[in-house]
Amino acid sequence: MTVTRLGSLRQTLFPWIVPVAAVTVWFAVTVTGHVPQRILPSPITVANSAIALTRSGELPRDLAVSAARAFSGLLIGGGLGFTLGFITGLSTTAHLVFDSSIQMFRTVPNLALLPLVIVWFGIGEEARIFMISAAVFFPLYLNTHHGIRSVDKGLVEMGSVYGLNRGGIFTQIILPAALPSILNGLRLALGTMWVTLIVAETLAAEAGIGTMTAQAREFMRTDIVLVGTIVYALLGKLADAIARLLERKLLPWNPAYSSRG
Amino acid sequence: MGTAEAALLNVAGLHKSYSGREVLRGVDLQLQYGEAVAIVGKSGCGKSTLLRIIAGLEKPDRGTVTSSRGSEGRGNVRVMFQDARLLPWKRVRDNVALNLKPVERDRAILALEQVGLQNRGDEWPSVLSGGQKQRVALARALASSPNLLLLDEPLGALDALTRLEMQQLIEKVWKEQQFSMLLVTHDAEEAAALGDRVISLTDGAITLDHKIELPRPRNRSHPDFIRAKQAILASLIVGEPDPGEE
Ligand SMILES: Nc1ncnc2c1ncn2[C@@H]1O[C@H](COP(=O)(O)OP(=O)(O)O)[C@@H](O)[C@H]1O
Ligand SMILES: [Mg+2]
Repeated sequence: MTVTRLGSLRQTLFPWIVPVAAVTVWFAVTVTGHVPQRILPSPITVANSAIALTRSGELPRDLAVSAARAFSGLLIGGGLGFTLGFITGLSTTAHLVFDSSIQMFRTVPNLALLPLVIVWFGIGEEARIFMISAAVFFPLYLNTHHGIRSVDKGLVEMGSVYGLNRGGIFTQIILPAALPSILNGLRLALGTMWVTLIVAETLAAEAGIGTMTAQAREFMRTDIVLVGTIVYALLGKLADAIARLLERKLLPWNPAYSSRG
Repeated sequence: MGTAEAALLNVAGLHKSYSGREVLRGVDLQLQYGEAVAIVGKSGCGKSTLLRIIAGLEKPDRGTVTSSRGSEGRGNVRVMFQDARLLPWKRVRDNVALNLKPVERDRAILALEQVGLQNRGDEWPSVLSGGQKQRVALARALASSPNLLLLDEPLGALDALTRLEMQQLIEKVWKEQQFSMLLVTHDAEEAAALGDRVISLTDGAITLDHKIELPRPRNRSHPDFIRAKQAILASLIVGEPDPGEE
């Protein structure tokens, strides 16, 4: 009893050691004046800027723009990757037709598409959403495809012996079997989604967290740059937490998520 | 074979080749209502292929499988495989209720009672032992009241004691529900314990069809049982370069 309580205390406390230590060091070096405010403002200055930016409505607006951008890209690219992964996973013909071509494009680094994207879309909103869509497409495509291809044939066979029709085999066997892999793809996609978002926004945009930090840099407002950076980190963490929550809720049977539901 | 019309299952002249190699070469087999037939044979002799053709999972090159009941020629057939093949994402009770209509769901609970797992219905399959998983698989087969149960070495992966318990359990539910069963095994003792008849398959053809008329449950140390077991073993060793002293 006490052992498990101590264990859970460890679980919740230990991950905070590094962030708390980092902020403490940050505080120490800035307050003592060892590092000029222009290079690294103190945590208090950064917190005050964050509060001011929130009060003025600037931060919430940029946050909303960034989030909308990220999720449109996720919806378009992820939805496409998921659908194509499903089709090529289920149909050998579709696999033969599409997979090798898709695999070929996968090796092109996302950022290498940038010149082409600018030629096609200019530097408008379409370009940014295209970049994000392209980035999330591959992890979802690959993991959905792989998840469906690696479904245990024995289970499918069992399902047909027990009289399930094609729809039943799909919903009761293939889909749940592929779900862990699909969710893993989603988690990877969320990771690349933020990276691409940052690059796309820093490049050129009218609003968004990236624009806010890029403008702040021009005015040497290091405190606002830091606010933007921390917001990015928090958004990334939030997306990861959502993905983990989905895994725990949707895969209660998986021994890897030991929660009892 | 005047009983062919009355038989539950009639297998005639089955041939099957894989990439030019003949696995089954003319298998004939009849199964009566409520009869338990054990099929023995060395690994690779075509036992699973025969069962899979009967289950409709594989098509024969030649020959027919007909049943006196059921529109698809097979009636209500269920299979137990060597691995339990439970769906990890369904709780034990939902695995047993696979493809049952909502109104038939209490059959799943009854079937779990039959195999002695009535209080494990809420668990995930991953927490069960190998023997318990096979019991759930048996319950799943029983829940839909099959008239033919096909078992492909379902106890092969279990330890000796669990296997013995499972043999007794299978015999018990077979008596209760009076289905016909076709049990593939590589264990001569298991065949002698459970079969009304034992068939030996060698190189894709039936080489022995042996009736065992001992009272059940069979006393495994009785001389008649041991004699039956040895006859089965001898049929398995036919064709070996060095038959030994059996
Ligand atoms: N789908 C298949 N494709 C090719 N060869 C197969 C296939 N299924 C079975 N075989 C071959 O047929 C032979 C008999 O297999 P099987 O019926 O599984 O034997 P048993 O169950 O008696 O051990 C084996 O040599 C096996 O390699
Ligand atoms: Mg086999």
